Amino acid sequence: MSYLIGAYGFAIVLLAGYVIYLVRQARSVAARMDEVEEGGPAAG
Amino acid sequence: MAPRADLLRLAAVADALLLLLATGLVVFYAPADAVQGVVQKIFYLHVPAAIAAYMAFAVVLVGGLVYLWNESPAADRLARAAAEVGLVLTTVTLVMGSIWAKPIWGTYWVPWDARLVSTLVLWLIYAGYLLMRRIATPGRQAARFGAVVGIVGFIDVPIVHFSVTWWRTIHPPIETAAPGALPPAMLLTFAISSLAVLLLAAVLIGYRYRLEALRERLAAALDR
Repeated sequence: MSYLIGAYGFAIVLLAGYVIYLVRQARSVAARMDEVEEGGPAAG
Repeated sequence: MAPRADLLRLAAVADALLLLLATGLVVFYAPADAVQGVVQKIFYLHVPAAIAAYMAFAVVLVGGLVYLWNESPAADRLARAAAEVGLVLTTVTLVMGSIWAKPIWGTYWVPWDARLVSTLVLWLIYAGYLLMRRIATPGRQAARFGAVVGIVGFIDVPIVHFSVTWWRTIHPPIETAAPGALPPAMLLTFAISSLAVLLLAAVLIGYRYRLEALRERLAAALDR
């Protein structure tokens, strides 16, 4: 049973981690894009 | 050209429900294997993850071919997105397989086993592809080189798949499609799990593609 939990635990953590990485990256790039489009401090 | 956000969101919600259903089936419906016991249930994610990784690498192949044909930035973006998702799924396949091997074979890894080594080589090929794309200056040359690596790298996919029949290996062949190979409850669980993981791969590629497109727009805006 511990091998089963270990295997699924690893897969869930890896896949969930990847989803979180994608969401955070998308939010960060979108926020930077907004700054640039508004001509804010990041544009310079 | 980017997948529509509302369609992607719909697919993500549908896949979340499908994954929940698959989890329910694995935990409560699929019987424990008579020989291996409950550890055999690793099969319901290990094998679908491998199939979804093959599909993702097939997308890298097609993206590479299309890029070499018409230099479409969308094809290159799609190939990069699919390579990353394929690598994540191959990691799931390798690690879950290794954990499954311990109680069944008595070891986490069998050195020089054809299936295991060819899968590790597959992981290294696409890890190298992504590393190269990250290091190289974005542009036509990096995209062309990436396309060639993606096309040549795909040669390992049939080698991984047929390694169990071409060479003597400890890894069992996949015979789920053969009549009577799996009892109906196991076959249904496997089918739903496979569908859920394939849709997950498609959704992840879609979101990764959109992220890449957004990054390119940002880079272009910063260059102006």
